[in-house]
Amino acid sequence: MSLIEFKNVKKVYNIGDVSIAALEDCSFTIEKGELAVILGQSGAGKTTILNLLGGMDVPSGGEIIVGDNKIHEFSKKQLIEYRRKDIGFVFQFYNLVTNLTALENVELACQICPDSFNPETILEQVGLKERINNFPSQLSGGEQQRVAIARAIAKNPSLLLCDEPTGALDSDTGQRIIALLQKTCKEMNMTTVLITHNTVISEVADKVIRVKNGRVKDITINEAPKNAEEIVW
Amino acid sequence: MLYKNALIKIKRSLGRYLSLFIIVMVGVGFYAGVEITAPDVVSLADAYYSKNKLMDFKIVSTLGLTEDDVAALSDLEGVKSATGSYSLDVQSTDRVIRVHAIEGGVNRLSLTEGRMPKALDECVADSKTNSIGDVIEITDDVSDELKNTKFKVVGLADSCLYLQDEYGNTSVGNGKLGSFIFVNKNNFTLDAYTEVYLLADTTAQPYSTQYNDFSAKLKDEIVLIKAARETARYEGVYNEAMDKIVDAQDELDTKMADAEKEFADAKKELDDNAKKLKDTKSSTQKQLSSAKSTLDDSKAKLEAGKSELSQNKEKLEETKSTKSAEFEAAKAEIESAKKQLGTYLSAAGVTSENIGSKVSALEGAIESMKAQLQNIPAGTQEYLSLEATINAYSENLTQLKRLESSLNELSANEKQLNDGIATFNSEIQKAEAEIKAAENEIAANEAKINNGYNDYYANLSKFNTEIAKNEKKLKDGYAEYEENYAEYEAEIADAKAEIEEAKVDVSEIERPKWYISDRDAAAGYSNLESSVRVVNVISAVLPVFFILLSILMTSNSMARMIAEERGELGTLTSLGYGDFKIMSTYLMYVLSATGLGALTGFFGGCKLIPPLVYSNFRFILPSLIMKYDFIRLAIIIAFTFALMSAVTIIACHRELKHNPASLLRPLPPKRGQAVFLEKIKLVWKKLSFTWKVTVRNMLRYKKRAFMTVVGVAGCAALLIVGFGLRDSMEGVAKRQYSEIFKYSDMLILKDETSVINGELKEVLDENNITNPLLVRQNTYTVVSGKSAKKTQDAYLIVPQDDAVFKEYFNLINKKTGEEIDLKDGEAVITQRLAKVLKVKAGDSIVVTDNENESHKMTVAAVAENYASNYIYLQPDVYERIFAQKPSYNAVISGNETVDEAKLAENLIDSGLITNVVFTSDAIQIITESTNSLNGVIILIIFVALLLAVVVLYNLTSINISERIREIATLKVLGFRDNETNSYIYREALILTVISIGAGIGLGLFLHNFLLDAIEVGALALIRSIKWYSYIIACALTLLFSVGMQGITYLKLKKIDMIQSLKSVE
Repeated sequence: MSLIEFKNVKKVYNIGDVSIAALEDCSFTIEKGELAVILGQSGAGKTTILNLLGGMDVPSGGEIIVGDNKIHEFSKKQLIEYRRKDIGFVFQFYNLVTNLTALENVELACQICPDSFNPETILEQVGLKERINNFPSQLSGGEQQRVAIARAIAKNPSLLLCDEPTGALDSDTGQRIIALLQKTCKEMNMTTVLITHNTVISEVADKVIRVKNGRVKDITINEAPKNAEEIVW
Repeated sequence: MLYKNALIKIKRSLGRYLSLFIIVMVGVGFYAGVEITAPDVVSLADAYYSKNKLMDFKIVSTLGLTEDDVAALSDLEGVKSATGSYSLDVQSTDRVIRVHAIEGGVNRLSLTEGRMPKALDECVADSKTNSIGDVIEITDDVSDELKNTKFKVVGLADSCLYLQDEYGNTSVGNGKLGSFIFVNKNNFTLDAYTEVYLLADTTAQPYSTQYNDFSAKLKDEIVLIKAARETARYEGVYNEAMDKIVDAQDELDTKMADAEKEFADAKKELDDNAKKLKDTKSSTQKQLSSAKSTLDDSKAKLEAGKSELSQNKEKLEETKSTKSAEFEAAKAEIESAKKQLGTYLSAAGVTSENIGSKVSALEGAIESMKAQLQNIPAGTQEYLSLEATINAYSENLTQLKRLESSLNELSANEKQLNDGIATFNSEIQKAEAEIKAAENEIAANEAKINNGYNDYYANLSKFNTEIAKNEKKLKDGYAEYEENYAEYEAEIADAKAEIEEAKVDVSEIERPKWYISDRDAAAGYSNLESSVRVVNVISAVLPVFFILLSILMTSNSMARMIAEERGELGTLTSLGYGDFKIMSTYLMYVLSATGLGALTGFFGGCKLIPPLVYSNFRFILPSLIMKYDFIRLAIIIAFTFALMSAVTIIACHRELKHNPASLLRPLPPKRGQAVFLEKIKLVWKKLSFTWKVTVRNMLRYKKRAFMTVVGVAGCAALLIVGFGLRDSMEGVAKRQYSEIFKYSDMLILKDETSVINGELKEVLDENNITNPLLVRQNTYTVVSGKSAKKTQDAYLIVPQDDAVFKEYFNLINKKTGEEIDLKDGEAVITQRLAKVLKVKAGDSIVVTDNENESHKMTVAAVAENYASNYIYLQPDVYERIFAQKPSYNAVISGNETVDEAKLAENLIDSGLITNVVFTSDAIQIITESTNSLNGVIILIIFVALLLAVVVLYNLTSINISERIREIATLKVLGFRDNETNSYIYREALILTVISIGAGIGLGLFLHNFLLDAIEVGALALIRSIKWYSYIIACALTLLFSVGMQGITYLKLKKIDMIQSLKSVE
């Protein structure tokens, strides 16, 4: 059975009198340990998918099953617990707590998770051993994103969600971040869902889900995903 | 379009707009309101004073003032008018009242009820203790001063001389002026004015520097003529008195001469009479005594005769008795002889009658026998027998013959004896007759002599009576004379003494002294000034605080708003709007908010605060007229606008100097920094992350933290000040009248005494006044021994008994908390006195009484005390310093009477006690006045609430809006709601706690500062604030703070993770 199952998910935003359907009849599955990329243009609904997956939003219809959890039925409180235990989130703009050092940002996540990893080890893994006591403002964009990733994976989540992790980075740095994510996914067998509009990045994915206008256009399973070092954009 | 945008902005951020509005409103309102209060009150007072023509100076002279004095004073430069007038402090039935003369041109009355007096026995009085129809009776002897002693109250009036309920002190009665009345001027019969009132020729506002300067100048003028006027008055009084003395002396001399002559005549007559009487007495006495001696001689002779007679009589009796005894013995001898003889006779067989015959018979027989014998031969038997018979017969015969002779002898003896007795008896009878005759003679003589004596005594007593009568008459005459003379001498002595006294008096006439008082003489005049000063102090401190805070808050608010909208600024700039245009939208926003706030605050403050503050002023003044100082409004508005514009322009400029492109980029987050605490690894490691963030955040946003602290601390401080003021004032009553003064009442005695005995004791016992303490209580003006710059009035208390004193007075050294023993030294003074005069234990003070007599004493200790000043002295110390034993004029006792009014009435009815002062009354008065503080406290709480709400709302919302991404991130990370909240709240709470700490400090400082300003005269306030006031203040601050957190909680909940994560517009 798949780890993630999206069944006919629908999401409608009501802004005043206008209803905008962000997702319509959206279905896909992601297996455990897969690196899935959700690819689509701006406004295609990929962020909505991620938000729904991450328990930050609730669907207007359909079912979302992650592991044994029926997310669509979750209450607000359950959603918080779900985010707390199962989800690691990497943001486009890193969203580090500026007032905490790199290590502390990771620890911030660890302290709320029962079976978290050692923050220092994780930071060493993402290659920031030397900078653990630096504040975000003292780090470059790539470094900040690494901290963000470290913060996400340190929680030992069952699902790592990345929202345009390279969106604010130059391509070299971006590539290294993708490599890090790919490595993490494989080495730690951590199911990773990555959102991007960059088709190049999708080449590293095990599964590519294309989204357009709120619907799943197609799902491709990449038999031989490229190594992150190989791609260039 | 831009302006429409501004309007929409207002609508969208109504909270911020309102907070700006409220901040400015409160700041301006408080400032304007408090600031206008003092001028309002002063102008009110000014109007009242000028309407009623309150005097500017009052001159009192110890010898009164004459028309000349009045004229001299009115001629002074700067004097508009001088009015000679009268006032007199007198004891009425139950209180001391001051009787004033009604004046038209100065110190006019404001009649509140009834009418002005017409008749001489009518008056207007104060409404505090009188009502129309009352009759006020003066119990002092005022025959020299007033025509009437009873006055009917026909009107009630306020006088500008009495601006407060406490009318001041007096040297009469219990020393406290209880009431005042005004009577028509012609009621006074004094030959000199008691005082002169001056009206100065100035329109300067009272209490102003201008007025004070003018007043000082005028005073100098008065002082210049003072000496000359005093001398003139002195000479006038001296000469008048001297003339009187000379007249009196002449009169006395004449009177003496006449009287002496009269007395001499009387004396002579008496002496003559005495002599005459003496002569008569001696001649009569001589006559009587010679008569008496004759009588005495006769009597002596008689007595001699009498005694001789009785001697004879005695001798006779003696003889009689010896003789009788002798006779009896002889008789007895004869009888016994007779008896013996009888025996012999009977033995012989004879009796005395027949013995003779027997003898003869026997002799015949013998003869016959002898004859027979001769016949019978001798020797014959017959013979012999006859012879024997003859012998026997012869012997018998011999015997009989012997018996017969004895019988005869005996009879002869008996006869001799009987003859002797008869002779003796007749002799005796003769002697007795003689004696009887002598006795009769003596008795006759005695009767004669007795008559003589009777006559003599009758004459003597008659003589004595007459003499006594005459002598008494004479003595009476002398006594009368002596008496009259003594009387005369006494009279003369009196007259002489009087003259001497008058002479001494005249020589002792002190140069009169002028006492020049300014308006301070009007009770409450300077208190009003100090009350105004309190408000001025508050208006100088608190509003500045508010203005600073509102500047801080609004500028921060605006800067934040503009920073938040930098994206919009960038857009507008890129669209080609000019900087000024963009700024103008913000200006419109801020100026409309602050302008409206300032206007509302100004009018609200001016309308609400002065009456609120004024309601605490216990002065007898008309009600407050609200005034608006539009110049001040203009200044406030201009200042607000200028400030807000500057803040806005600077904030806008800071953003607009960047190019539009960078404006469109998000503001780089503020750098995080290691904080000092991290250096202490031990502590830092123990902190959880939320704590670390909290600590870092607080230190990162120092400005904001600082403002929170200022705002919340301000809130806490205000609350502490509010409650503290109440505690300080309310505590005074309790501390003073139940913990320091533990007695329940003080009885003012009519007559001074040195012990409680007799009637007083009875009265006290009757009213169950146990454990009474006699005290002497007097008012003195006190200055330091070093400098007479500052003066204070104080009660000098001399308790009779130290042990009882300790029961009623709890004198404590405030610093050490130790009990003060009066025995330890000279004077124990109270703290406020010590503070104002700047004296401490060991220094000296000088007390001066109404008669201007001064005494110096050393301060032994300073005692805790709040209301009025006191000096405590032991009786022996008093005696040493004042050179007289203290006589006591009051009794203190610790009764627990239910009905105080009844007790007071009973005591005063006794006639021994003029007044009863209950401490419960004092407590009530103070409590009432502190209750009026509630208004101020509510104002302060309200302002504090507003302050806390506005500051906290502002800062928390800024905090949230600035950190919305951070919070969203935390939410995404799976932080639970309470964890997220605590992330924000902890900071706010810590700041609140810090603020409360700072607020307590600030509050204490402000409280102390305000108390310093409020403590005026003899009033000291309790510095300490009650623990529960701290708790209430802190709890309220916390409550406001938590309340605001509750509101932001809703805001926090609403934060949309998705929106905020994207929001990098």
